[in-house]
Amino acid sequence: MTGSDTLAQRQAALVRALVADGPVPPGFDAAAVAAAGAVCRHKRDAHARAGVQRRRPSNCSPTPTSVAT
Amino acid sequence: MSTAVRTVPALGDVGLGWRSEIAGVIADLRPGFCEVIAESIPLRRRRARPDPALAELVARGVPVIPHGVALSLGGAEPVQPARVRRLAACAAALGSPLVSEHIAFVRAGGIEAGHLLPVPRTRAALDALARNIERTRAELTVPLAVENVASFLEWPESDLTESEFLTELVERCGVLLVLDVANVYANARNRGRDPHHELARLPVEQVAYSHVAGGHAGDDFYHDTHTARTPREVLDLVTALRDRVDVPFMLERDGRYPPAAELFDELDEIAEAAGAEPITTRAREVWT
Repeated sequence: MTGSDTLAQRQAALVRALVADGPVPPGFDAAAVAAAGAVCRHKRDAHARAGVQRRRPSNCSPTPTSVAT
Repeated sequence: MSTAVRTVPALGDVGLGWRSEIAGVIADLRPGFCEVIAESIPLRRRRARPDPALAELVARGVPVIPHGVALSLGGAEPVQPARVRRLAACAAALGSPLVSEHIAFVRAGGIEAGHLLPVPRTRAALDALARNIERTRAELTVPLAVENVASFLEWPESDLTESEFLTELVERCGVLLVLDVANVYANARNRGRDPHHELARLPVEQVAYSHVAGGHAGDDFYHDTHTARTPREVLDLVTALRDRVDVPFMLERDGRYPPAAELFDELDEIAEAAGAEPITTRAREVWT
């Protein structure tokens, strides 16, 4: 992490680490990122399957049907 | 217990998340309110078309709250107008007294995370949240409530406590809160803290309602999955919160749905923990 990184850059780096094979951003616990990434990928896959089944319009993201909130 | 008037007087004492898988059981309950995932309601020609069973609940006078999971209020980027319109359309179709979303982001840099992610507890994140809350409220005709999330991730730059962060958010935006006591439990457990100590420090005067749920202990972390019965520790937090302030509670269940009788037992446990009347009496006659 550098002081000049913006919130947008930091959030993008975290999402890349979680679901796009990006490096763990500086300062994060690697085990926590790995565990959270597994949850994200599982949810994304589940949403994608639901999206195919429901033929959702392309301007909507797949519908989360089992999101833990 | 506080005698202050509730922030959303329309809501009854005990409710639950409406899911199509348990719609038949819910139809025989007497819930004080229900919540429905906003993204699960189909839109056609910009109008929300709720499931007939959900519309029937509304017709019976049960308040139904659209609960968004994909707005990304905590994102550095502006919320997407179409997603805000979806929330507004759901509220209009259901005659909702309020809508709710999360203090979280779900996408960044053009990539969808697929799940609710925590924001750093910093002034910069508060600024971004406040801007997105204002953008959202500009399109809504009912109040917005925002929910604390569960996460194992801890941002290294966080320099505010959860309590400081939520208190400042409420003071700056005047926004209502959905206080998820199961998330308070999950975060405290995963960080080796006392959940009652954490709950005691959170602001509760602006709470619209509270979420209750069960989860699973994994090898590494406790996961807030909403797929198991609410544990005693979370029910104790219900009682602790109810001792501080008069708020409605609702069960979130998102899979591995139990037999009706077990669901009724769990709802009764929540009602008892909250000092409220059961909502299951009539449904038990039908289902057991």
